[in-house]
Amino acid sequence: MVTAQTFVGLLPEIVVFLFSMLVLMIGVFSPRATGLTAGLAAFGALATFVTAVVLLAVGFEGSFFGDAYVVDGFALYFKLIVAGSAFFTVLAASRWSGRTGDAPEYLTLILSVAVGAMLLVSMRDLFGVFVAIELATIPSYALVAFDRTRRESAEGGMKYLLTGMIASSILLYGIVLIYGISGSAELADISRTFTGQLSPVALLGMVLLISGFAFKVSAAPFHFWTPDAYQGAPTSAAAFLSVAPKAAIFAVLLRIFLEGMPEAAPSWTAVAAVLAIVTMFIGNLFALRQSNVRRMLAYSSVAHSGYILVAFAALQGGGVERGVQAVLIYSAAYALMNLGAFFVIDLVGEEAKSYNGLFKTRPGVALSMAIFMAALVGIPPLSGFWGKAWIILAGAQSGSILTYVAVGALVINSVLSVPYYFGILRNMAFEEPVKGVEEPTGTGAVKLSVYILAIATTLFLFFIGPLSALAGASGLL
Amino acid sequence: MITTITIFIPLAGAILMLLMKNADERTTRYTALGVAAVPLLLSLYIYLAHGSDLGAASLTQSFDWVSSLGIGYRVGLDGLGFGMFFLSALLTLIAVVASWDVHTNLRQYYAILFIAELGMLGVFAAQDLILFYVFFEVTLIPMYLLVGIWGDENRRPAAIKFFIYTFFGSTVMLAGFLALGILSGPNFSIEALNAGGGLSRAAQIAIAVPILVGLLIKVPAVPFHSWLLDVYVSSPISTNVVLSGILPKLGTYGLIKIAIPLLPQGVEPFLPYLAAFGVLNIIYGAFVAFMQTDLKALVAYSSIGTLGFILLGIASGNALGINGAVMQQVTHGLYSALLFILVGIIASRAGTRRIADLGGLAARMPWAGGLLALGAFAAMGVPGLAVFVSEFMSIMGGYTAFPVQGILAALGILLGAMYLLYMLQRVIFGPTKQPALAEAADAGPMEMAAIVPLALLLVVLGIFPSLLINVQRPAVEVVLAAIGGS
Amino acid sequence: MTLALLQGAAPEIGYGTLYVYVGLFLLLIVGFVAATLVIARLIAPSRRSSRAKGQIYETGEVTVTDPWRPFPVRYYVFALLFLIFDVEAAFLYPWAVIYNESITQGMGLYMFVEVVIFVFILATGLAYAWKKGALKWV
Repeated sequence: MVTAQTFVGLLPEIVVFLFSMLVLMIGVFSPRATGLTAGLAAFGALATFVTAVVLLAVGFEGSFFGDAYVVDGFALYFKLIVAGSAFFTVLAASRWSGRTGDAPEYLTLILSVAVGAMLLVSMRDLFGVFVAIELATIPSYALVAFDRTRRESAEGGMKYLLTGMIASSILLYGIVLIYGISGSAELADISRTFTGQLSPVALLGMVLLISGFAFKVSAAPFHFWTPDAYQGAPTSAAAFLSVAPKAAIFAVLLRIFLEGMPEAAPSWTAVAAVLAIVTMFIGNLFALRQSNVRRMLAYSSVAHSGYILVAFAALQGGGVERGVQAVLIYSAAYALMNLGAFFVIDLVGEEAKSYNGLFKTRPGVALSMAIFMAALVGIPPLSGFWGKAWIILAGAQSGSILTYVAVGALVINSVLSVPYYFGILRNMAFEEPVKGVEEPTGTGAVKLSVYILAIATTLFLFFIGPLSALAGASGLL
Repeated sequence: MITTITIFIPLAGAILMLLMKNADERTTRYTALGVAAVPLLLSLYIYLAHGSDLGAASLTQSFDWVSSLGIGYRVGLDGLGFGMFFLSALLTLIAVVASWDVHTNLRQYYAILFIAELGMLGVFAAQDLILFYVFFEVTLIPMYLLVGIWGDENRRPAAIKFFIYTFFGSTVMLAGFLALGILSGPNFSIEALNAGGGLSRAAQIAIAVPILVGLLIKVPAVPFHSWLLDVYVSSPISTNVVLSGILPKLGTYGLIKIAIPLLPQGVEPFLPYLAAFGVLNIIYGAFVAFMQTDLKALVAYSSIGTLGFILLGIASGNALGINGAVMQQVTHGLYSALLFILVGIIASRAGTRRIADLGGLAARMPWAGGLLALGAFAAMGVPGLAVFVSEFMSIMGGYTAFPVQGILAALGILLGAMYLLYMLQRVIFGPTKQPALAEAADAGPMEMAAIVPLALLLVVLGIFPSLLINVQRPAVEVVLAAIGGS
Repeated sequence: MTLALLQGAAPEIGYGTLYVYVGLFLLLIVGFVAATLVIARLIAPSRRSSRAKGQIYETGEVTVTDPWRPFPVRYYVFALLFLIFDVEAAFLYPWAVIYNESITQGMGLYMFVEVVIFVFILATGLAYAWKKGALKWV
C-alpha cells in the first residue's frame, strides 16, 4: 500500500526528477537564462545528495511496492555516489553546454540518467531492474551523441545505441528465462529456484543476464563500444557515464547475485573471475597503445570494471562481507578519481601532447592530474589504493583458487597500467611545453570541480575509516 | 608525538619550498638546509635521550584508522629502525648540501626530496603493516620525479623502469601484507602480529612468498636488479645519496622488521636461499664492478654487492648475523653516499667518468682523492672503518648458520678488494690524463661539508661500533625471541 | 471438449499435455496454410507476372521513386510527437477501464494522482516540443 513512507523512500528520486523537469521547462521558456538552468540543475543534484544523506543519517529503511523496491543503506550509499557525480558533472558541464545552445536539454539528460541509476540500485524485481536500466541508458545514448560539432560524437552515439540495444535484449532475454523458470521476477522467489543442481534453463538465463550486465559495465569481451562512445561523447558526459550508471549497475548486479542467487555462488563467482581476468588484461593492454587521453581513459575504465569484477569473484567463502565492502569502497574511490581525470581533459585537451610541460604552465591542474593518475594506478594513500586493497582483502578470504588467480591478475594489471597513466605524468613533468596543440577550454567551474575532486582523492585516507564502517553497515546481507 | 613530528616536518618543508615563489637560489638553498636539519636534530635528541631503551617500539603514537580491520596509524621507534631513521634524516641533509649540480627548479627539487624523506622516515617508524606500505610507496613517486626531471640524458627510460620494477615488487608485497593481516585477525599492528599470529605453517609460507619477492625486488637482490644500474647512473648526485643510501634498506628493513619476525615459519625454509641471494649479490656485484669502465657504474655495482652482506646476515637468524645486518644497513648507506658524492665531484672536475681517462687525483685533488680512498677502503671492509665491523658480524653469523654461503661471502670480500684497489690505482695514482684535471681545484667547502661528516661517521663507528650496536641490540633480541633463535 | 477440459480441470493438466495441444494447433496452422496454397494453385488461372505485380505494396499507390533517399527530418519530429499521444492512449484506456473498480476498493485517489502525474509528464514533453517549434511546418 502506498503511504507517506513510500514518498519519503522515493524522495531522492522525486527531487532529482522534479528538478530535471524544472530545468527543461525553464530552459525552453526562457532560453537566455543559461546560468539559471545550470544553477538549478546543480542545486537539484545537490539537494538530492542532501536528501539521500539525511535518509542515510536517520537510518531510513523500507521496502515498497510489494517488496519490489527497497530503500536500505546499500541503496542509499549508491544514490549518494550517483547524485554526487551528477552534481560535479553538472558543474563541469555548465559552461560547455551553455555554448552549445542546448544547455537545458543536456542537463536534463544528465539528471534523467541519474534518476534511472538511482531507481536501479533500489530494485528488487528483475523487470524493475530492466526498466530502470533502460531509463538510465536511453538518455545516455543522447548524451553521447550530443556534441553536434564533432563527427565522432554521432559515430560513438550510433555504436553505443546499437550495441546498447543488443545488450538490453540479451539482458531481457535472460530476465525472461529466469522469470519463466521461477515464476516470479522478485529476487526472493528467484533465490528458491537457484538452489541445488541448476536446470539448463536457469543456467542459460543466468549466463544471458550476466552477459547483458557485462555489456552495460563494459566488461570484455563486451567492451568494444566503450572507447568509441567515450571518445565521441562530450567530456562531462563520458565522465558521468563511466562513473554513475556503472556504479549503479554493479550495485544492482551485486544485489541480484546475493539476494537472488546466493546458492549459485560457485557458478557466478567463476564467471565473474574469468570475466574479470579477461577484462583487466584487455583494458590495460589496449590502453597502453593509446595516444588520445580520452580513449586511454575509456580503456582504463574497462580495466577498472575488471578490478571491480574481482570483488564479485571474491563473494564466496569468508570473502562475502569484505567483497561487498570492496564494491562499495571501490565505487566511491573510482567516482572521485575518474570524474576528476575526465574533467582535466576538458581543461587541457585530449591529445597526449597537450599535457607536455603542464607542471610549468599550469601547476595546479598538473598536480591534480598527477593525483588522479597516481590514484588510478593505486598508489597509497590515494583513493584508488583503498579500493584495490579491499578487493585483495576480500580475495584473500574467499578461499577459491580461481579468485586467487584473479587477484594475482589484478596485481599484475596494476603494474601493467603504470606506463600509460605515468605517460601523462611524464609528459607533464619531463617534457617542454608545446604551444598550439589544443586551446585550453573550460574554466571556472570545471577547475573548481577538478580541485575539489583532487583534494577528495587525496584526503580519502581520512574518510576510509568511516566509509568502511558505513559499507560494513550498509544492510546488504 | 616527537616521532610523528619528526616524520611530518619534511612535509611542512615541502609546502614551504613550494610557497617561496620569489626566493633567489641562495635563500632557497639555505632554507632547505634549515628544514633538513630539523629532523636530524630531533633524531639526534631521540638518540641521546632514549637511545638506550629502544627494545620494543617506544615514543609510540597510535590512532585507529580503519578500526573494523585493525588498521591504525601506529608509529614508534625501535632499535631495528632507529639507525636508518637517523640515517634518513642525515642523508637528506647531505643530499641538500650536495645538490650543487641542480640549478633548474630548485624549489621543486627540494620539495620532492622532502616528500621522499617523509616516506623514508615513515617506513622506519611505522608499526603497522598498512602504514608501512603507505610510507614505502610515498618514496616511490618522488624518486621517479627526481630521476626523471633532474637526471642525465638517459633519465626517462631509467625512471620509468625503476618505477615499474619497484611498483611491481611493492604491489606483490602489499598482497602478502593484506593476506597476512586479514587472515590473522583482521589485525595489521606489527607488534600484535609478532611470531606468526597463529597462522599455520603452510599459510605462513604462502604469505611469505609474495612478501619476500616484493622486498627482494626493492633491495634489489641480484636476479631482480636490472632496474638499478640505469637509475643510479642517470641520477643527479644528491638523488644518488638517497637512492643508494636509503632506498635499498626499505627492502632489507622489511625483511628484518616484518618478514622474519611475523612469519618465522613461513620464511624459515627460504633462509638458505636468502643467504645464497646475499652471496650472489656479493660475488656478482664484484665481478660486474670489475668490468665497469664508468666510475659511477662501478660504485653502483659495488653498492649492490655489499648489500649482499645484509641479506646474508638476515638469513643467518642468529644474534651476530642480524646485528651485523642491521648495522650494515647504516654503514652501507654511509659509504655508498660518500662514494657517489665523490664520483660526482671528480666527474664535475674531469668532465668525464671514464676510469681510463682519470688518474693522478692524489696530486691534483688530495682531499677528494684521499676521501675516495677512504670510501673504497670502507667498501672493502678494512678494519678500523665501520663497514668492517658490520660485514664481519654478518659473515660470522652467516657462517654459523650456513657455512658454505659464509665462506663464499668471505671470498667476496677479497674480490671486492681487488676491483676497488684496481680502481684506486687507476683513478688516484699515475699521471693526470685529463687536461681539465690539470688545473682542477680540490673539493671546496660546500663539497667538504657534504663528504666529511660521512667519512667521520665511518671512522667513529669503526672505532666505537657500540654507539650503534647498543641501540639496536635489545630490538634484535626481540626479533630473535620471535623466531626462537639464540 | 477441449475447452471444457481446459476450463474445468486446468490445474490437473501437466505442462506436457498442454504442449501436445500447442503442437496440434501448430500442425493445424501449417496444414491450413499448406492446403490453402495447394488449392489456390490448383484452381487459380495461369499466373502471368507483370511489372506492376512485382512492385512493393505501398497502400495501393504506385511508387514513384527509390525509397532509399533522404526525406525531411520533420517527419521524425511528428512521429516522436505522435508517440506522446500514442503512449497516453495506450495507458489511459486500460486505466479508465479499471478506474471504477478501484474506487470501490478505496484506491480512487491514488489511481487519480498516479494518472495525473503520468499525464503531467507527457504534457511537459508536449509543451517542450510545442515551444521548440516542433508543431510548426516550415
